[in-house]
Amino acid sequence: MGMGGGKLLVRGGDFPPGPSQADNAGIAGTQFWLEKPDNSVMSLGLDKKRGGYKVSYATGQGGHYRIVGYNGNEVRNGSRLHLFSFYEFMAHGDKPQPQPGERGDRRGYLDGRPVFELTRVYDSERGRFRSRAGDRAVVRVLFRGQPASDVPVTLTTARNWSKTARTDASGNAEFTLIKDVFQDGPFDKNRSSLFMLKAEHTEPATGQISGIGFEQERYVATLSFPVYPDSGEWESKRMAFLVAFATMLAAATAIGINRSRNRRRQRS
Amino acid sequence: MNVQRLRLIVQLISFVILVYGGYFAIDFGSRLPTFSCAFVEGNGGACFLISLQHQLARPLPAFLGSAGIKLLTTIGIVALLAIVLNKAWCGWICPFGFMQDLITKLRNALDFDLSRLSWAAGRRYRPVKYILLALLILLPLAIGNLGLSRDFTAPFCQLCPARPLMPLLVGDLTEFHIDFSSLPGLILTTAAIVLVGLFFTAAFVKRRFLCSYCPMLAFLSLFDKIGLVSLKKDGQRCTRCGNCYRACPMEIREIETEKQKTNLVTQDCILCLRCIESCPESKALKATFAGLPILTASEEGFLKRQQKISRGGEA
Repeated sequence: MGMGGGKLLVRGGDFPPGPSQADNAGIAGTQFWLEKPDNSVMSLGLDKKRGGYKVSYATGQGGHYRIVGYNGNEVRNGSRLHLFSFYEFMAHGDKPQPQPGERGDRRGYLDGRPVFELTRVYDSERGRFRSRAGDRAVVRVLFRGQPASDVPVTLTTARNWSKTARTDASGNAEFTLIKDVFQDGPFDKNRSSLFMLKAEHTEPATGQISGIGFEQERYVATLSFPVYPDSGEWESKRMAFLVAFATMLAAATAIGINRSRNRRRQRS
Repeated sequence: MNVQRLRLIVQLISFVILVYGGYFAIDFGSRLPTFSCAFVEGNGGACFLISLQHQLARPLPAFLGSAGIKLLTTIGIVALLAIVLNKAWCGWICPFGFMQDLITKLRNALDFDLSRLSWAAGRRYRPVKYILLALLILLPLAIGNLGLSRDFTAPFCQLCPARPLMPLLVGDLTEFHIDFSSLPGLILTTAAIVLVGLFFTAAFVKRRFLCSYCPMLAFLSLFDKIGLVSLKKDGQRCTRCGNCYRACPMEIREIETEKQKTNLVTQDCILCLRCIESCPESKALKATFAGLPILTASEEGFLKRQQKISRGGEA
């Protein structure tokens, strides 16, 4: 995800995608925004692409970006469904100063933040750029800007392995990103596997949408992110130490031989 | 104050700022014309070569837009910094150069003999740094335009010994590895580790061993003639005693032999000013900043050096 921009494929239905067609019916009513490192928010257009959808975005600055999708028009089984989908990424380049957060009122937003948020908490700046198998992933759930405790968060991998954890008092849940990279052909350290986190929260509320009544509001947030192979699969530190040591030994021997030859030459 | 002592203090301060500056909220950005590795977490400023290589790895039409402006900004800032301090970036600020100087000091302390390349060999290896500079520009361009594999991304950073070595200074071992994921990665990272091995052995017997092949020095050479810091020689006063050549860590012969040229910031010069300090002829050599003299050769300097040699210091 370099500076300049990119496209993100938007897909509905099950995760991981099964053999059945994607359920993209609700996507047309979803609104997407790009949250930029300077704290500004930009609306993103949704384009059709080969039977699916995509959003295109531009990144002029370096730093942490987030694409937020929101759809809150549906009532299912007496519950109003607020569906948030998040995708976070980093762009290289100069980081702007974050502006004091005036993100405006948008559907699904409250006081400049999505009402229900699922976001990663990173140990280091480097971790933001690339998640690797074996990494610890801390996720935070926020409801109306406040940490939401005891919310079940499920991590699902591309091969349908899943684990559920509940958030603690500070809204955090922790996972270990398992090795889940399946690929054909030669090993490629740059080929990722998509993981998805999902959190759900229900609140009692009554109302109507398009004449259909509901007794509760169900908030669902998903956060998708790519996980790359652990560097241990393609890097060797032991070999590096060995090569460095062998080089030092060879160079020292060569220097020693050269010097003794020079000394002999000088003597003769 | 002794100029070399002053240089050592400046080098030490620069080293601490550039390697550990991030821990003190210091950040000079990633456009410095000096080998402060961007892979050091918490650095206080990073070498511009990594930004340059990433910025060049785009399709040419992209340079007509914001990518072109960013590239020009990078080159503009680096050029400005290079003009102000010229090669003093290498001799006074470069943390990687400072590490080599420390190894030289260790060699002096152990009283180990110095090695010199022959004049012919020195000349033969000079183009290496220009070849590296050309490759670090051309390979990223080929990635963006000719479909060259992304395994060549930031090729010089994969090859550079500072990448595995300098993160060790903050206890980070992640960059000290050989990459087996692709052939280019394997070749480049192995070469980097071999250079690390050479750093500790060759730099031990030859001063500033790796600087002779450094593409940053090649880049800074483009500004030799317009840099504000310059090294002047008065050929009429020079007696060709050779002290300057012997003192020069880069073993630049021209400093002794050149009689005609007045500006002696040659392609390998790192403006350490050791030559001026060791020159016995008054005003034969001088360093200037924007035309104003900042250090001039004198008999006193020569005598100081003699005293140092007699105390067992470096010749």
